[in-house]
Amino acid sequence: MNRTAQEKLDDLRDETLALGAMLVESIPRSTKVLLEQDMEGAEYQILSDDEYDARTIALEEDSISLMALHAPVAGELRHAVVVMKMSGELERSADLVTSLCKVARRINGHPLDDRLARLIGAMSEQAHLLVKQAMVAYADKDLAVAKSVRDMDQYLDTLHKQFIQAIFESHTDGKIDLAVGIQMAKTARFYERVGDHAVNIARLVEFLVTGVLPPAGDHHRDGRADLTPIGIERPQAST
Amino acid sequence: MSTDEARKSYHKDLAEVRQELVRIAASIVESIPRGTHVLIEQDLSEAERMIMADDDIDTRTVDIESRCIQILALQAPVAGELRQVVTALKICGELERSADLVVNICKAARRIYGHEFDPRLRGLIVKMSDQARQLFSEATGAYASGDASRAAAIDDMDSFLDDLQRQFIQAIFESHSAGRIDLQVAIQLAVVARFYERIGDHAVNIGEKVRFEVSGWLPEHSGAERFRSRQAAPSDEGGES
Repeated sequence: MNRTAQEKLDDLRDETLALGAMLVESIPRSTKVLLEQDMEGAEYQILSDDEYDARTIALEEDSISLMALHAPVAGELRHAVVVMKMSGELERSADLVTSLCKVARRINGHPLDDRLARLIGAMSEQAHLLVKQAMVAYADKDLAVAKSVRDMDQYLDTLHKQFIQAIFESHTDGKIDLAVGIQMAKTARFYERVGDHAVNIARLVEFLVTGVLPPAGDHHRDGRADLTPIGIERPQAST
Repeated sequence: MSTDEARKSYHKDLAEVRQELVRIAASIVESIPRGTHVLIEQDLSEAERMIMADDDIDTRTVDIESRCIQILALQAPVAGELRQVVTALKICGELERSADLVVNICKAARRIYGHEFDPRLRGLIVKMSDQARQLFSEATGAYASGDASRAAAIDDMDSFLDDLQRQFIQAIFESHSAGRIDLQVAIQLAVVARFYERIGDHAVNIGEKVRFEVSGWLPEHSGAERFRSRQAAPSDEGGES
């Protein structure tokens, strides 16, 4: 690969890091929008997501043209492939963060009780940390950090389960109705899926560094033993 | 190996990647009604089987990804052939996630095990399932035959699934306020509705990738389009969604 191609790859890397940093920063901001029901902040995030989409699509196109025009090999080819795949992960993550702001609009006027708010804060912090670590792993090509992201994601899943339980309890206590309950269940999944995308990014970093693609599926982590229904008491076998 | 033979085996590689992806996609198409059956009949042993079977799809998609990267490295394809490899790489991810969503439906079946829900809800679940299956089957067919116009039609079909999902959410509210289902089941079912909706979204994504493969067309994501039109006309700051 010649010098121009190397420069182009550097540009792609810079843009990937810039988009990653924007995503990292948007997570606590959107959580604040949700918790404080800040309609103006919601509008801002929803509008800026359009620009984010445009930039991730441009990044994807650029990585494909780099492959087409310069036929990179070895580490540089891997890097181009990683950027191409990461653009999609970033775009989807940003959509999920934006969805938090859309939830803020839908539940506007229905305050959340302290326990729910606290757990949302905890999920947000964990999702934020995961994305940040995944981007640090990419920036530093750090295999150990990349591998740690998968472990960290398990804690987010635990928080998710606690939160679903808390939704049921808040409903039982008459603090939220079904409509808010459904929005809250969606919210929990948004954070969880942001975490999954961070795991995917970390997986791409592992591939970038080692040249070997680790397996993708990660939802079994907690799934296999998951025969107990979450947050639901099994009724006596009457049916 | 002569140059001719090398090109021949390269084309064979590309064809095999497509065949394998079509096989995986077809198995997902077939798993959608099975997942729905698990949910409605509360068939826990089938749920377990389907959850286990997903490991196989994960392994196969990773194999295809590695193979695509090998093709990129060894053959440095350009133009249409580069698009074929890029498309295959992207479709791997869509398939892997779609299979996960079917697994999620099976897991939801475990969570609502023993809780009855009314025929209207069951009817709507079957409709969403049929529609998601049809979308995925169209996407698979469009990819198998490289048919861009068939791929372009998927987006329109998806709006019907979105409508069904809204009807279903409405029905959940009605069942809940009539006291037929409790909140826990209501929430699990609302989440299930999103699984079908997202399977439909992945089918739409696959359709977009097929259009890219055939014509180099890149999806002008609606957001990116809105952004550009705002750049062009800064006075129009309405914003929707």
